Amino acid sequence: MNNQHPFSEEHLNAYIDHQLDAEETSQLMKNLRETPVLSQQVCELRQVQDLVRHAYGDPVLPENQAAPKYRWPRYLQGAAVLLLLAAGAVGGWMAHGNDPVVMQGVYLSEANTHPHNVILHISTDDPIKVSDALDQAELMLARSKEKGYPFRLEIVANGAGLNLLRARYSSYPERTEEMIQNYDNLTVMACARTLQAIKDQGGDVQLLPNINTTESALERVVDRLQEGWVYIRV
Amino acid sequence: MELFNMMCRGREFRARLEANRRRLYRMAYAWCHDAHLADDLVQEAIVNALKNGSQLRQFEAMDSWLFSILANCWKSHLRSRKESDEFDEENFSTELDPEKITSRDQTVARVQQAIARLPLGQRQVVTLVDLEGFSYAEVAGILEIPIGTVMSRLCRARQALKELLIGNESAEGNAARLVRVK
Repeated sequence: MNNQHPFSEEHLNAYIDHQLDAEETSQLMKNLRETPVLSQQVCELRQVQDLVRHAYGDPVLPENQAAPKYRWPRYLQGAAVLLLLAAGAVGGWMAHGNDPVVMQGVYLSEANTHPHNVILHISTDDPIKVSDALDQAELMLARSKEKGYPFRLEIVANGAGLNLLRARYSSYPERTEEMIQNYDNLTVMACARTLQAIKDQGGDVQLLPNINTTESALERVVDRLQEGWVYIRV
Repeated sequence: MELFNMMCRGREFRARLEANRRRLYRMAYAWCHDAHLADDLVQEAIVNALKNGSQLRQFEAMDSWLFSILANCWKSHLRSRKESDEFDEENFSTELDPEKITSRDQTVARVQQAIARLPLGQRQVVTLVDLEGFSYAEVAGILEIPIGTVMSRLCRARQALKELLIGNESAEGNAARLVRVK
């Protein structure tokens, strides 16, 4: 047993990271058994490695942290009982070949003046969900155009969903712009409260072209519900 | 190639991207120690990956490809903030919120602070190796640096972490640590 060994620090790091070839590994392992100070060095390196892994072991994604905490307005809390799940009614809009995506829409039973208009609320930046939502929106717009009946669609984004409309972070910037250009009956809006929250945190709030803003996404939804629009949340 | 591009645009590509979000976030957070900035960096990386999916030659290489995109996003963020002229050696120390430290696992907070005190280049190398298990060659590719630089940075990073985290135990803890190895 002795305290001398020929291995550099780089060599020991490569050993614990499995970057040595079989012969080098075998040689070092042999020395490990015979040289206590070498064992100690390797042990300390592994301990550091374990600590680093432990420190970042379970990341919690800050979903919707940028969004301010919303409460439904008091007047809607009373109206909530009137919300009817209208999956069947909206299913006509949503039927899309073999696409398994199911979205549910709600409308206020007392308001029925514009039963065919839809407000689509995006609050996630999950690229798959957003892509599906754009698919469905485009399908609704295309069908209304084809059939020639009056129809308006509003897409309103808040929270993490606002990323769709942010110039730097949008997963589908060209597609969003194309849809706005192609359909006059489509309005796309960003929630001003979420924008302010992002701005307060030093974030970039530059939006894609032709995006409107609304003071509050949820208040917009409430207003449209009261006008009889169908509400779909992504 | 056309078929491959179609695949990149497809659902499988996007699903795999999404499945990597948590890993990317963990890495971004380990680099910047700011939850919102890490989230923005990951979002930017995913957007860039979606835009440049056709550049991915092999699906198997997608992981290191994604992390190289994340590294570029982080680099451009630092440049835009003018926080780093000498990118490699800058001591980009991020102090964690003391209120959070008291409510979190003390060891986790202590290690994260130690990582935050490392120069950025060392921090990136040690986290890519330890958290993701990338080989030295893969890390060299992700960060676009020579493999010798990867090894020297890693060596210095672990030496610094050892001194910060377990250095003061060395006088009395040798025997105990040897026992704990297994």
